[in-house]
Amino acid sequence: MRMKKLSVGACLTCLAAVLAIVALIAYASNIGGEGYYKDAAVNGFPWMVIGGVLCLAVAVGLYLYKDNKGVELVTGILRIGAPALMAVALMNLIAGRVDGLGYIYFSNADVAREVQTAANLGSAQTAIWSMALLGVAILVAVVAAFFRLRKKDA
Amino acid sequence: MKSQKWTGLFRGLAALMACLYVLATLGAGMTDSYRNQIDGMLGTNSYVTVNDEEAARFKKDYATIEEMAAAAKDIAVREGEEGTVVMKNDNGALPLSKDSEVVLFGLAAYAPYPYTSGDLKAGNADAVDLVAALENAGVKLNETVKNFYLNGILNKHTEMVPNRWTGELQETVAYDNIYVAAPGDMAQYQVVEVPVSMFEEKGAPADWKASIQPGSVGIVVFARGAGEGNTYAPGSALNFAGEATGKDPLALSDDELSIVDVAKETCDKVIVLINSGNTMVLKDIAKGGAHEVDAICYIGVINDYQLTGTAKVLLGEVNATGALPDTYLADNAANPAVVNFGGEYYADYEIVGQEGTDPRYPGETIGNTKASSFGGATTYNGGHYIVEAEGIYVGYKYFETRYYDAIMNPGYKAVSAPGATQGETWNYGAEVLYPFGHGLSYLDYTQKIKSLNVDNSENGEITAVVEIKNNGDKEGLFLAQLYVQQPYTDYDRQNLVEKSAVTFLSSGKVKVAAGGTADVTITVPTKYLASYDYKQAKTYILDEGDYLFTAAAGSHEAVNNFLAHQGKTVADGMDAEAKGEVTVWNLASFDKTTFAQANGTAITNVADDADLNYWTGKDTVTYLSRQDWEGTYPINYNQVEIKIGDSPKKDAWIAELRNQTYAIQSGNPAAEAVDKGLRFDAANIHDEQIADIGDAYWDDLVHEISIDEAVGAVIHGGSTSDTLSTIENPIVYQNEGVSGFTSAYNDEASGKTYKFNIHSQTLIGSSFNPQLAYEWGLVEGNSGLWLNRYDLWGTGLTQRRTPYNGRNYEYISEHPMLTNRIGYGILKGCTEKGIMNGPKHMGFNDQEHNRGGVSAYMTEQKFRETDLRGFQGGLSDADGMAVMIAFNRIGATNAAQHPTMINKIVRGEWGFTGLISTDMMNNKYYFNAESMVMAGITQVADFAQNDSHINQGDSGNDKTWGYITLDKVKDDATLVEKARENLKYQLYTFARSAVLNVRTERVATWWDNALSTLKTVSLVLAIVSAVAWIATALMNKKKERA
Repeated sequence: MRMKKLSVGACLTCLAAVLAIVALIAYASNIGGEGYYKDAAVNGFPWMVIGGVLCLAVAVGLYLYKDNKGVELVTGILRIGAPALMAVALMNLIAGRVDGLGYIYFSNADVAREVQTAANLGSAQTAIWSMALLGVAILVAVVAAFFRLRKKDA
Repeated sequence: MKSQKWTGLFRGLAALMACLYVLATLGAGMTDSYRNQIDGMLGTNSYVTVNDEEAARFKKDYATIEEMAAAAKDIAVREGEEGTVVMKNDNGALPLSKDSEVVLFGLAAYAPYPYTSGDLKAGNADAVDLVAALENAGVKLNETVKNFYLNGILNKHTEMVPNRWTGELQETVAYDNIYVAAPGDMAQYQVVEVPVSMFEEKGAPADWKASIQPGSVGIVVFARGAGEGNTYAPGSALNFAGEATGKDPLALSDDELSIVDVAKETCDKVIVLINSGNTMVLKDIAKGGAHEVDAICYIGVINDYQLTGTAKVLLGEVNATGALPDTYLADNAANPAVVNFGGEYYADYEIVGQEGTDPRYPGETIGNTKASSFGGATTYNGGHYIVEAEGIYVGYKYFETRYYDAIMNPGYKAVSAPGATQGETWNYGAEVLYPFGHGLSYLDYTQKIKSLNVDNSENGEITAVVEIKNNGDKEGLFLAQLYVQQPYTDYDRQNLVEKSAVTFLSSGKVKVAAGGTADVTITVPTKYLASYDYKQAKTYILDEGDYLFTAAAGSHEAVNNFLAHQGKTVADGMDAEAKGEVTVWNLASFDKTTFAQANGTAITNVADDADLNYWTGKDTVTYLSRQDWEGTYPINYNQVEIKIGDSPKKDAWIAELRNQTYAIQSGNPAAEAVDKGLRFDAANIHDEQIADIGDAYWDDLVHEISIDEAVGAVIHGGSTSDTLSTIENPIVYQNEGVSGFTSAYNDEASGKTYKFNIHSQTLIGSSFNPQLAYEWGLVEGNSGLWLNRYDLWGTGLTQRRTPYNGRNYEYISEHPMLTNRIGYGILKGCTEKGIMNGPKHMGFNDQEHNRGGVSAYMTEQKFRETDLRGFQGGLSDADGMAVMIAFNRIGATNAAQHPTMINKIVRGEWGFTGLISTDMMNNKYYFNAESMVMAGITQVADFAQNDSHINQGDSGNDKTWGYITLDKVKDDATLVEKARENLKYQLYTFARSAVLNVRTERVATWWDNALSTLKTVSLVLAIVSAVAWIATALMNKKKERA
């Protein structure tokens, strides 16, 4: 039974995918909710994260389904590519958020009084959370790539 | 087992390195965007400023100040050579023979206008007057006449005269008898010329005539003065004795004609030199005149060295290539623009005034009367108007079109009474003495269009190659002039789209060997072929049909070429046979789209309210239309009763005349400044910021400026820009004048003083040479670099609508396209040297009389195709960097508050990104601060000093416009944002100019190097790891199978 052979690698990969999905949810709530980043979508960001998650999922799925030379190579490529793709997404998200964060947190006192509303601060925090979650997801995916997806057959 | 471990390691490393590569690559791009902030945080420097001379963006072309001075002098001499116009030359009067003695007559022969130095004339130690110029050239002058003029009549001396602006007494050149240098404001003008009958009384020996040798040539020089705040009044002349003669002050007086007569009596030949920027009336001395002379030359308003060039022309050392920039008439009253000149009050002008009820000025009684040219009255100054009913038909466009229609279109009633001054019915030959573009060449030549290409796309150009054939026996310079006739169609007639029968496009000069030929290539943007249709298409149109092009020596020769091409001859009424050929370009279909946008801005009507009929709600004004010369010839609207109170738009009209184009709004709070750490310096401004005003830096920078400073800096400027405390910009000083920088360069090494305002606006105009204008622009720009001065009101491009404007000597021509091409040359040269050269006075400064308030009413076709077109070449085509707006109103709106002229046309259609200044702000009731901000003015010239704020007056109110307070302005975000936008243009222009004459170079910081290294290393390791992973993975599978 392949399920029993799930390794640390597979678990970490799944964890990375979950963290990325949570980051995506945080992003969706950020642009959907009230506050500074309402409607401030980052071009291509969701598709890149979804792409990364799919790469991880397909890698795990394929490995559970079959284990041969071809699968080893394909899943390996997917596991290398997924964090890279999510890194692209992360950098785009940072580029799209850094101006606003600077404005909210580093304006002079006059402006800060006007801009630091509860909604804007909440929005900024959600943006930071989505970046942090995606960053951790990337990290976990990279660590996972060091491990096999399947425990060695006894 | 071991190799499987390696597989995981390599896969993991490949993933890690791929991620690092992505982060390093995208991170490098992102850090580049925030380079300044990162530098600030980390204490690094991404740019180093290279400020040695070699690295400057704008470099001097001359190694020493002597070379600089020589280049300036060379241009001035060439202005004399190329700008002197031989208008009449009979009996072989010209060129002069050095063997003949020359007798100089007239006050201006010994003290040419201007005789004092200042804004208009440099006054260098080696300046050359006419006596010196002729004597230096080897001409022998009659010493007897010279002596009694110099010592008896003129008696040059100095007097202490109060300075006009400061009142401080200063030593000024004066004479016992001299022509009046400033005609005053519609005052009586005394033509001071000592008549022959008083020669002996003034010191001439009784037998002075006996001193004149047989075969002598008499040169008589007549001058007319001019100046700021001056306007000639038709019919205002006084004679030498101070008696009113009723004559035109620009016509030759009886005293002057007595000089002509005595010159004719004592000399074999007589040459008259016209020393004026105002078109004089020369009927008496022209062909057929009662005092006809052998030759007449135009020498314009001279400067230090131009007369050296003029002497070369008189002696035939260079070919005469100057041409008249204006039409010379038998009577200036024949000019249809003169019919409506000076202006008049509305019948009920008092209703605009208020007695304490203007909320901006509670308790103050504000009148609506005229003010002097320098302000000083409590008045809205909205009571006075002129109607520019002549439309586009200014100068030759009127005379040549009416001549053409007299022959070609009898139904247009060109031969009718209105406008005729020399007979019962109008006759071109009687009215016009010398046409626009006229100038005799010593060397016989022909000119023809060798090839023509018309690219009728939005940014296309007309390119004509004109072949000049020199039929003379000497090498010489020749002038080629390109003219066009656009089709005048049924559509035009129905929609009152007016077309001149001939239009000058541009010109050029070329040197041609004796008997040889040479080509001149003339290019001009095709957009200038389009006409503005303000009634139907409400944009620029090109009519279908034949466009006729010809190369001709003047507008009249050109129109005769067109008539001949269309089958007419002398038998049909032409006054001469054609001298040249016509080249046809055909447009198959009507085009109202190609020129309906420019620089991404849709072009449509923006000045409907410039038309008096817009306000009166009826056809009060009939504008001149060539389809009915008799029925539409302008009447004098100064004599028509016009009542503001009868208007259906009475309230809006009164509001506009009270100068309330924009009122400060409330309930829309403006955002205060956000200091992002940007500064106006070389560390922040690099090539990409200089190349693009759309760069985010500029918006961010001006949003660091406080509301107080943003609005304050715009509404208080003039002598200098303001230091804006947050952004640490340099202040920039403004300089005069139209002849070049008036400042002197003191060379410590030699102890010499050099002045570079040695140019002549009048002679650059009559040179008809845009290339010479460009070369002057470069020299003017170089002089700015030597003087360390960068902002200059250094040319005048207003159309000379009538001969009476006291500023005509600062302008180029009656024709906007000649002005356009000369302006293009001057501003292009200055821009290439980083000098902000702002032409004066855009927006119909057609008279100085009541300039600070008179309403000039006109159609939108005139609005676009006359005065504004004169500025368009320099500001738009040459990418000029500054402009000064006129004092007067366009329609009822102060030109400096005209939002559509500035924002839509100048900024939008022309893509102009430079400074826009008002003229002298001398009446706070006329100039409205908030309206000027909203119109797009970047600096109001109220001669405020640096560090201007709104709240520097009493109790935090503005010191000039007391109703403006910081709190009030803060509540109008639209106004504040517009002020910041205006400052953006100003700061951007300073950055484009030699104010920031340093080059910055990017250097790699340690974090640049770290990112770059990370990028390279991670890429290499990612590839190596991936390859290693693939290899080990394949080996593992083999082993497993084995």
